Amino acid sequence: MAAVLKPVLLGLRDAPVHGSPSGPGAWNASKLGGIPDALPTVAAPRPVCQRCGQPLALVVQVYCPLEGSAFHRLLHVFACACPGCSTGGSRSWKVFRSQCLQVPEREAQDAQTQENSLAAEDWCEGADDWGSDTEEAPSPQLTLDFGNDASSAKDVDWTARLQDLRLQDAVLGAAHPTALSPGLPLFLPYYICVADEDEYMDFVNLDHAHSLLRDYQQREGIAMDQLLSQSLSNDGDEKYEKTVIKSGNQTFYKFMKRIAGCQEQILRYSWSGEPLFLTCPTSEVTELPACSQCGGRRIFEFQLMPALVSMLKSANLGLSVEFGTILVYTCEKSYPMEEFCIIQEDPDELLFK
Amino acid sequence: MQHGGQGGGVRGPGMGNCGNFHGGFSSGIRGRGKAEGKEWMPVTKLGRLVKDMKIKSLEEIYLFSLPIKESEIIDFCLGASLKNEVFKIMPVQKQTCTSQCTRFKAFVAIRDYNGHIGLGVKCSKEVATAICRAIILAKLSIVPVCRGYWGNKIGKPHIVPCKVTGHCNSVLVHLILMPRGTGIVSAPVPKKPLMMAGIDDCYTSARGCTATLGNFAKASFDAISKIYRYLTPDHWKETRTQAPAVATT
Repeated sequence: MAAVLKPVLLGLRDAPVHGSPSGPGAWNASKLGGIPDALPTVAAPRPVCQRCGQPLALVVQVYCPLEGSAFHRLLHVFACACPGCSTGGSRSWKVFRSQCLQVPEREAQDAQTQENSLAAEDWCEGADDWGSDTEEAPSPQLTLDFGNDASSAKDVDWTARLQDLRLQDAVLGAAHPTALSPGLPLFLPYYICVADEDEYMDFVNLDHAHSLLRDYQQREGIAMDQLLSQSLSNDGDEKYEKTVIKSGNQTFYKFMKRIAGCQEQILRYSWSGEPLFLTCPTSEVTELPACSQCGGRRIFEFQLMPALVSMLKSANLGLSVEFGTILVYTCEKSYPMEEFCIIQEDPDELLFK
Repeated sequence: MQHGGQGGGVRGPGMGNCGNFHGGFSSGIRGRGKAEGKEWMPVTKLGRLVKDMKIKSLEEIYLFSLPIKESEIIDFCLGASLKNEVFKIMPVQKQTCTSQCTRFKAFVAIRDYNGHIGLGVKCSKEVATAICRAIILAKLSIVPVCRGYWGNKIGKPHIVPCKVTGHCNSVLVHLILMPRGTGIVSAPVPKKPLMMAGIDDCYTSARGCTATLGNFAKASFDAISKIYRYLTPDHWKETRTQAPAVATT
């Protein structure tokens, strides 16, 4: 209660990815499923499962540069989709982070985006008036350049692709334009769009409750204000009761309450914030391993939500991933490398073994 | 039409670019979610199985004693036949050093007309919120009700199949079977859940501090839920069932 809650951003599934976009538009996007896009100077990660040796499938790709940092930052989460490993715990999951400097890209693009950058400056003018740091002003402008440029480049691409779309639909897996190693498991790719959690916080539908209340008042013949005065007359035999859930535990109930506003959220992003636990956290959480490269502390970055499990579909059947929630912890100092993730299993998992 | 299609897609990568995921993201991009009908996204494995229709009825869940953790599972299985009723709303007070803090405690009973009932109790600062949350708790605590006969097996089952006792803290509630036509002979508080369960004829005997409505109501619910724990002769026949893991994969 005393601690200030850090703002949480929710990731929601958006439009499906058509074709295979490349260039800055590809690795600037957060998406689920599909092929991992690589930053220009970094090779795309192609990990294998520690348990069965099969190549891992991309679950989520998150583009998340840090504030005030000059790096593009891309996080990939991989999982093993084999039936035997889908409940294998943290050994079947891998998280990779890659990053590269933003600045050199900008010089190349500036010449092409004269009109676009004018629009971008107009947008950011207000930001300057608010007294924000000079450091921050270039970065939104910078990334907007990419956005607009990507869209103009894309316009050309997609008119061609849209014509192909009908033909390719039937042979989705086979006629893929880019050269894919045939054994790579793949989930159908969708973009992820971002929203603030606050928008969804207070959305609870109370209409039914109000109608029930009206029925009760009619039946008993008392009004709301009389309810309050009743308390003064009876001497509280009834006391405040803490809810005791018969099935499941308190942590799970709180988790459900928190996501009730927006059930389709698939990602919760809160840099160095508090994760939302599905089940009671074990000692794993308090004893996080330090970063292997710099020895720095690991902090919570984002978590994957259970709604993602039903959204990960594959073109060929048989691929599935099961989890309760995945908490991803990254190094504070942000060196490019493999990161740490904690898996909280679905509370029903043990019942179905 | 083409433009619209592209617009939808351009928004995708464009989103990641506008500021970063963490900080500068404007929330105006995705205003939907409130107007649309909310689709249930299951969180647990049982929820996913129910949504995919691999588990078709609540009875299969009860057969294996699987804990139901999502109230939407009940909605999905029982759906339109569920009916809520507010039992009682009472204000409860807590004394703080400056003043009294009043909250409302709502008792909500839920039933479908086919042998399932649940009771939810929730306290909250506002009445509507208390009712809303109590409904969810009632759904999570739904139990099946088994009815039987007193004498000849003519007509529909109308009573508890055997004597049962439920208790909650100090309150004890006995349910005693009676021939057809007796009606429910009890205090007003347990009468409601008994009527909702479809039990037509019953004697009750209560003991303890029955003035405490919460305990009394919970004790009568406890009695009703104990019915299925009793192995009556019609359950003696052996049945073979598959483990849920096998049945659903």
